[in-house]
Amino acid sequence: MTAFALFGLEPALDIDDALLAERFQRLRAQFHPDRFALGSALERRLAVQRAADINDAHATLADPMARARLLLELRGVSMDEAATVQDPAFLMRQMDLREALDEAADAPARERLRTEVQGLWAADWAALGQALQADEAEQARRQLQRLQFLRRFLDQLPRPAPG
Amino acid sequence: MTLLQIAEPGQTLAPHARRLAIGIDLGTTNSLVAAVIDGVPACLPDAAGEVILPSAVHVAAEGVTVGREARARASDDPAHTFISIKRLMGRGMDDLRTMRPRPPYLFAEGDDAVPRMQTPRGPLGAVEVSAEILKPLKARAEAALGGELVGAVITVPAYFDDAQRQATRDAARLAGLHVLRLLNEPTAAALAYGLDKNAAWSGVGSPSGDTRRAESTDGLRRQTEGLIAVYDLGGGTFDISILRLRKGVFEVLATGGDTRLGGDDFDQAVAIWLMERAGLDVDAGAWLDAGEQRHLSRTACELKEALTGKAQTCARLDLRGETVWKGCLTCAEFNTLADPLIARTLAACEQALADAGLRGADIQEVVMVGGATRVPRVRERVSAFFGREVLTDIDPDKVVALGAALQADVLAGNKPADEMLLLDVIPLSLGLETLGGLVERIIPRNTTLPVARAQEFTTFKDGQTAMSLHVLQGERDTVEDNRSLARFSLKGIPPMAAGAARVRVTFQVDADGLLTVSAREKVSGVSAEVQVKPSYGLGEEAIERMLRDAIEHVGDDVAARRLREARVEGQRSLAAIDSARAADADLLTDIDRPIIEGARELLERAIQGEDAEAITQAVEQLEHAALPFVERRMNRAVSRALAGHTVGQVMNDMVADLNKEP
Repeated sequence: MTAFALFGLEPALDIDDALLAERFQRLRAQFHPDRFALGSALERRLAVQRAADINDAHATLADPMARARLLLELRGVSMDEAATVQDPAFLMRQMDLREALDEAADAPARERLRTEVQGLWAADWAALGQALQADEAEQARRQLQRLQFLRRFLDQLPRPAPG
Repeated sequence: MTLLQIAEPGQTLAPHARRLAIGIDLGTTNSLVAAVIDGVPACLPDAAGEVILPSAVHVAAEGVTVGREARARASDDPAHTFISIKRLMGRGMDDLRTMRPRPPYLFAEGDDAVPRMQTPRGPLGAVEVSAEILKPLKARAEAALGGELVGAVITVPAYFDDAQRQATRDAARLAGLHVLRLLNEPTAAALAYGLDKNAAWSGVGSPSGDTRRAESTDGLRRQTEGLIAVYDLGGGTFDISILRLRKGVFEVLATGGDTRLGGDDFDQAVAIWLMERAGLDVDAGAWLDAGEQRHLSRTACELKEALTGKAQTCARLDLRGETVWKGCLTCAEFNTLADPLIARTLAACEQALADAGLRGADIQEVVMVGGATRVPRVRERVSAFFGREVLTDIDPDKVVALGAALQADVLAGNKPADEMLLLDVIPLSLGLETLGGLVERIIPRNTTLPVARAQEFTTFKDGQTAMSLHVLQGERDTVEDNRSLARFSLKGIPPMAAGAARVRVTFQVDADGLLTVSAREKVSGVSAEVQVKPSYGLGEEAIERMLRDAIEHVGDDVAARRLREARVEGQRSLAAIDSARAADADLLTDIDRPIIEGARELLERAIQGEDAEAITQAVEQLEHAALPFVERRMNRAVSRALAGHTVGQVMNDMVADLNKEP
């Protein structure tokens, strides 16, 4: 059973976060092994398995990148293969962004950069959605690789000190 | 045997139908047993009216004593008086060599993974000694509740690793207790405080006789969601857990701690200070024999306890009939000794907060658990760290047992199932040894339980038919800095070219935090044989042997007990399959039906017989036969839940189906 099916959701790039949260609550309450404390050994074992599947499926669906990877996998496209996509335009953009990061000396400059990259991310995300809809697997894979770079870039961007 | 009955939502069972279940706090220094009586959790006293059983076991040729009487022998017969045995649970000889203070026991030659101590009644391991502590608690509960127990919730430090948890489970089994759940101590404490809800657990009352509690938690009770920290400093272990509470759901976000830091270390610091004052060479502490060491520790502990609430306290230290020191310990001096230890706990708090993605100011309540949180300096520093007054209203010695009793009551089915849900995390990462003595992480710490993760491996030689894997637990990158949990041999891989086999190894950690591993070769579809050699645990055979050798087996025939246990499990299986068939008859296929029927009859006959092994086998056969059917039912339950049935409805359907009387 796929993560989508387990949560009764149509496989799609964008999902209803509130619905996901609500179903997660419901499913994990129902299948927590504590509910089967006095059940037979088989039921206890199956409950542990099912509860683990539910937790895992939720982790996949709740993370946009993992969700996108799963969608590609469901179409038989594996992201694990190291084959790099030849994408000169994107390589150029990567270099520009790294340069911009080096130049962004102060917090406001870094926040401007963050906003810019978030914009790029949204555009690539939409493009990924279109590629999936048009069933263009190779294009989708390229978009996902771009998104992965942008996500890592955002994660590495220093956050302003809290408070 | 009486099987479960159906509880309608919001309705509890009639008093006569209540199943008896207990919560046990198996502590380093003290142990307690509690149960929910008339809706209120209470610690059960012994015949003398004491609820606390010191976790001390004295073994003499003529018999075993447990508790106060045993503790009194600590100084005059140190080698056979086991105190703070919890520190040795799940530990190997290598760990014991580096332990300070060194346990004053004589270790028997033999298995370094499971050390055994010499006693006048033969060699005993930490599991067996712990079982001796559990036995009188079980007897106490049976006497107080007047019947047979369906099971027990036993608490463990949240930071206990797999080996320590497994050892605890083994001890319970040895004591004849059915473990409903190993519950993390901080989670139990949060439960006892009832911080998640409005008034439903108000029956918790004020076990310490303290009425401030109702006022102080009133603010939180009106909230539906809260973030709390539980700071648990016991005799020998320290835990910090960050929980999110909302409407009956206790979700652990992060946990951290140190299983080698506790109140004992404060005593030890005072003991060293005493030795320095007495002009004794600390490094040559060895010239004190084990009994004198314990006398020193005891004096140190008394000094520490007497200091609470005072500016200074005075005492004297006698050794070998001579007063070696007379003087006073001031509060300031003690604080200097305590601060480095407290700083270690605060560093763990910092880490747990970071893991949860929170800051100290986000925490709305800080619950203090464990006898060592009575130390005013600890309260002061923890308050300062979180920037708020800490909660100490429920007696820190009792709070864990009370919480365990509440959970036991729910698991036994005495409360509607959807009233409470405890979601724990794995405290330490699980990984596998890879090339060069490095560890590859498979399940990171603080992952919500239960969890299953699979990893694929391949062969590196042509025709390779076996593969060995080394499972580790811990946060470090190198093998030797982590705890070795088990070594697995996968055998029976069909000979193939190097790299062609695909062995999928699945790690599963259940709600108790216990690991099981399974493996399958995917290309050939052959299930590879998994040999489990727990590095620090006990195999099934060892448990069997211990049951046979049980040092106190007066009136407890092992064979009879095994038969009884097998029958209970057999009845449970029969009841489950019958109600499942009744509830979802349409899910049975023409293939399932006769196979299940055949296996069912076989089990019924086996239960009437006297052969425990035959019953166990028949249970396995029935479960095997019913597996496809039971899986279809689980799937149906998922769709029902998703179709908008409330958790309460579905759960009650499910649990009732599973449990109702045939």
